[in-house]
Amino acid sequence: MSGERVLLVDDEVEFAELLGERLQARGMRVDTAADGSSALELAGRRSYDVIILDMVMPGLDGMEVLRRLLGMDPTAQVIMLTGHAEVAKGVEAIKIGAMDYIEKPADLDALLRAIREGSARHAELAQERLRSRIDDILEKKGW
Amino acid sequence: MTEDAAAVPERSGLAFFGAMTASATHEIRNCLAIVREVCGLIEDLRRDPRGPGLSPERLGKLLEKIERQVARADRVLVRLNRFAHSTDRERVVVDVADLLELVAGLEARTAEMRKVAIEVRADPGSAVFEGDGFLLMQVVHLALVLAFEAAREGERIALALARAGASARILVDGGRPLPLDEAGEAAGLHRAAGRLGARVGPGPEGFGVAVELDLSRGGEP
Repeated sequence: MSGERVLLVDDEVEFAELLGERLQARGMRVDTAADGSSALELAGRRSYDVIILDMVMPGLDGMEVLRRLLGMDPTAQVIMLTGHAEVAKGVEAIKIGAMDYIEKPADLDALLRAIREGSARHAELAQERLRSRIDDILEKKGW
Repeated sequence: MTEDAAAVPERSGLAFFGAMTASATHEIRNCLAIVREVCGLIEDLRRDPRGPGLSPERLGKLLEKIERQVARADRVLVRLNRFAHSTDRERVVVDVADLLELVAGLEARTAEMRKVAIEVRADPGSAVFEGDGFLLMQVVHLALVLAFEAAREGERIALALARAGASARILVDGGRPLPLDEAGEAAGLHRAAGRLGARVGPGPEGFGVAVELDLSRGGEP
């Protein structure tokens, strides 16, 4: 599958631009944000299949952005990206609701696999939500 | 390792050392991540027959990115190496202005994370201190931690040095009063300053932290 819509959030602007270009070359549609506030704004305006989120950023840190993203959309598929070799933080992020945790510098193949997995999961959850909403409407109408 | 350096360090000293090392290595890792992506992109462009290809101009720009990141990582490593050697000896002669520049560099990433800036105002050679250089850095760090906590986004924290006779005053001032109560978070600062023979109090008009340092045992500039 290609054409996944990805939001890449990292305060290292050059890193985000370079990785973004490599993902685009693989058919993905990529937006980048340099901080948590911009990421929340973008995610509020558009639905992303996968959000790649740096753990350590100025202002709102990755963990807080993760909480807010999941508050806005519980089906959001978030991959945490960090320079810290801290398993504990990754585990904490997954407990909060991140789908995966990848250490920086990221192995591109591992990241692509995670994006595709996240995208498929996001589509599945969106379908489930839609079905559930349709069921609710039909039930209310007594059909 | 000297006999002094072999002494078991205090936990707070280790915490300071750990915080600075973690911050520096995180930044180096970011540099490496960018270098890795540049290399990956070059490889992508070289291999993809349908893509725009790798023009000499594009290659030149990508190589410049690598050069910039290598230079950035080198600056971080130089600071980290100087910091690491500050624990070699318990008693050294240091130029306080130079030491403040080093601490400001080490704390730059923490400041960036908090969206504040550190501004050093210290004349090189204006004050020379003889004593525990690592402990002096820790005192400045602890004062900066208090200033960071109080600062708001976009603010500047001055790290200033003034000489007065046989003493020097280091001022850490973000334009806000800081909680210097010895029972509070500042307890570690008072303790570290006490071990150094320095006094800690509020800065001019009650803003920031002033560290009064006795230079009488040190060399004159």
